[in-house]
Amino acid sequence: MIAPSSAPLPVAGSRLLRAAAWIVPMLLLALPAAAHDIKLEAKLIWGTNEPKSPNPAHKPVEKEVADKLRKVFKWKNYFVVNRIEKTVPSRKTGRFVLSNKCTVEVTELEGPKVGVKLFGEGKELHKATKGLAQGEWFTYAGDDKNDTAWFVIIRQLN
Amino acid sequence: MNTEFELQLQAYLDGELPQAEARAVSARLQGDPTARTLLSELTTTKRWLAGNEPPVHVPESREFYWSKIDRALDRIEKAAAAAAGDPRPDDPLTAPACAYACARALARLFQPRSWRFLAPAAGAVLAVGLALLLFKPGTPAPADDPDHYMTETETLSEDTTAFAFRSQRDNMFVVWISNKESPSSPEDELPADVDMYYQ
Repeated sequence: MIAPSSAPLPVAGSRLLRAAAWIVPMLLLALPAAAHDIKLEAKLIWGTNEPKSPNPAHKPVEKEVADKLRKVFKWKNYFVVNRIEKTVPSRKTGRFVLSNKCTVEVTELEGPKVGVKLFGEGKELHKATKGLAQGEWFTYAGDDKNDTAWFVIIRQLN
Repeated sequence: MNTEFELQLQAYLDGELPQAEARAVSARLQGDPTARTLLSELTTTKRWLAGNEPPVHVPESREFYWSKIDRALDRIEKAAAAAAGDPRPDDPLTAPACAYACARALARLFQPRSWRFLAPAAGAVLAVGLALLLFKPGTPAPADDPDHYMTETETLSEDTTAFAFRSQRDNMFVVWISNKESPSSPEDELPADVDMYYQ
């Protein structure tokens, strides 16, 4: 005689559902965390209303960069002090030494997000954690002497 | 003609009077040449101002400009609250409330009677997630993802202050660092974070 098929199946089905209820969300949570390296560009820029930089090594920024900065900030001219391109491995930290006084650390985080830390003369000044989409600029900025300003622009290249 | 009527005449010109008052002013104008002269002068002045007022262009973006104003208002409110002996808390209760609501929702979700709905729903979400992952490997959070704008910021130095804002139009997130002892006060010149980012 065949046993009623309805007795064991609900138990098995219930276990399966319970397992799925836990495993599937865990998998789902793990997927966005899939790690990847990020290629970043960090630029130290000096903003001024003067037509030329006193340092001849400072070259004017590209036109599109200047246009974009002019839309947001009040300075007329912008000069590149330093530019560093670097790949930050997944879940690791990349250090961008932009000048003697200015360093930025970028950490690739789950999300995907980046953790950015700004150092001024070796001292930690600020940190931020955010998603960084392609095309977006993460900018640290501040005023400087004689109505000038400095900018650290970080953007993702890949 | 007294000052009150002069003001009433101005309001009449601007269309700000109730109908009954406007009718009364209109009736008085019929028999009052001085009032008619004043109305004529006011009308001319209004036309000239509307047609010749020079537009003012600020050197910054709209977000930059308004964030400064917002910051200034916030500072005034805080100063007023402090003067009244009622300092406003820096950390509103919204974050704990949200955390509590999320915890409640998760607790409900993982109640045994909810499991039968969870598995198929999770399966569907997983399929969508897999599809997104397969078709766009390693793609960062899109700019229209609300989570993308969730930014944590923290000032690590006691000597500096920081304000953050985002220019949506220019796709730029800015953290403005100021020296606390700097003679150029950030409140006067620099952007603030009151709208979207707070620290």
